[in-house]
Amino acid sequence: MRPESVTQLSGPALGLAFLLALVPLWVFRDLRLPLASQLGVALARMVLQLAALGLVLETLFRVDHALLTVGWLLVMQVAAAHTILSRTALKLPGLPLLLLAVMCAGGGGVLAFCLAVVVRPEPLLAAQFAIPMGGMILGNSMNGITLALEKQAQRLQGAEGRREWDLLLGLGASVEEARRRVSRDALRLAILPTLNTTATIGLVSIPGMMTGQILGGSSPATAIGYQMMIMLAILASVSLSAWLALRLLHWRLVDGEGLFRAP
Amino acid sequence: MFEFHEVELGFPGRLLAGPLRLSLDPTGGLLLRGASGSGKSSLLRVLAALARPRAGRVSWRGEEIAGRLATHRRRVHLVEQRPLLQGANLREALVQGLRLRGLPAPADEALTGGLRALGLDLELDSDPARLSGGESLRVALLRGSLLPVECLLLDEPTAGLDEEAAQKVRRFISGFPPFVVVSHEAAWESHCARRLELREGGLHAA
Repeated sequence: MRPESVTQLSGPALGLAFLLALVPLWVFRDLRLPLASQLGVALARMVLQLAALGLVLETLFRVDHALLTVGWLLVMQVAAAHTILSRTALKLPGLPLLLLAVMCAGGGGVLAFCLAVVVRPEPLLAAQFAIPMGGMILGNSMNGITLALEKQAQRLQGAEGRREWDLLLGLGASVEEARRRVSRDALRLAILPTLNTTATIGLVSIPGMMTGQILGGSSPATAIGYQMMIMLAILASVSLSAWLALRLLHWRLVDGEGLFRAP
Repeated sequence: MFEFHEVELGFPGRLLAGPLRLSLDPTGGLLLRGASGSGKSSLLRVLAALARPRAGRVSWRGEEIAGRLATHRRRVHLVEQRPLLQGANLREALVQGLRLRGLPAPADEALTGGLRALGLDLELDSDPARLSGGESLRVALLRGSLLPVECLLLDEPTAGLDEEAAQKVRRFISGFPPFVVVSHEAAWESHCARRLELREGGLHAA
């Protein structure tokens, strides 16, 4: 039997949930692992960021204006590009703009498809759909791009990677063929977590979006439909974004004749 | 025939050699010598279209390389001093270039015969990552010799080999089309029709 309305979490009840933070603290203490302050910072950030997000989402959903929704999606993309930059050792002029373009084309393109072709909400850019779906798509794309770029940068900016590149060209591979060969591992690394999640979804874990919908009162059938769509969207956006990022990285590092550009 | 037109070798901020104005004829073998850091390896990389000269133009058989690097790379092949071998086994490593060019691989007997000619008694199913430096070098030579190229470029192909193995390598290479070899070993002189030395920023007859 499903509840008629959503069961609200009261403040004191949520406070009790914070008792769970004692568990990792106890584990850290037992192993003399100096992670307590990091846990404190992480929890404080979680509270502040989610509280801020709550305020923003309240406003976005209340106003529900297409421009505001698109603006917030852009903010998310800028934040994702910034996060990728902070996580990667890659330093290239123009990289922030390239990452933003990749996020917009990969994540934004897939989100647009889902909204315009699959869900078709009224209005099309209804914040209630665009923002949570965008968050899931962009978040996963961000992780995929980070993994792909990190792997590829290590490879192409290291001596071994350059030797491999020269070997492929020297044996007669075209620049395109060499690019494809040295990009495979990076793309595999980017897409594997999503592929694994897709293959085991429902068996081990009930994904966050589905949990949210069921807790919010949706029927499991509706939640499953949305979850399938979002997994397909994540697969598409992670592969497209990582592929685009790798192409752009190559374009920045290697010229049309296959030689590395001067740093 | 390679033609050099005002070619400078080196990196931004460091000139190794040049300007060079000359022709390099690898027919019958061209031995290239020079002190460490004189620009020999840079010269080979330019000839192999794996690097551009700092300045100037290089032509091969009357056709300028610049703008046609990919085409040129299929006409010449550089065997580096510390070569990289890729493949799950030796067979794959040997035919990698042929596969990349969409060409058929020779039969196992031909590959084994090539390895023996170079003094290597190796199983084609063995792991190329387990080879010693000298073995890897000779496997890379055989890999390069299988390619239908117009000129082989060899960077110290006998460095670190014992005399018997080095002799086999020299004999093996001498039976091939035009080649340019960088080596400090005098034994290469009798296998090369021409000898040049890279010294004081210029190429001189040796």
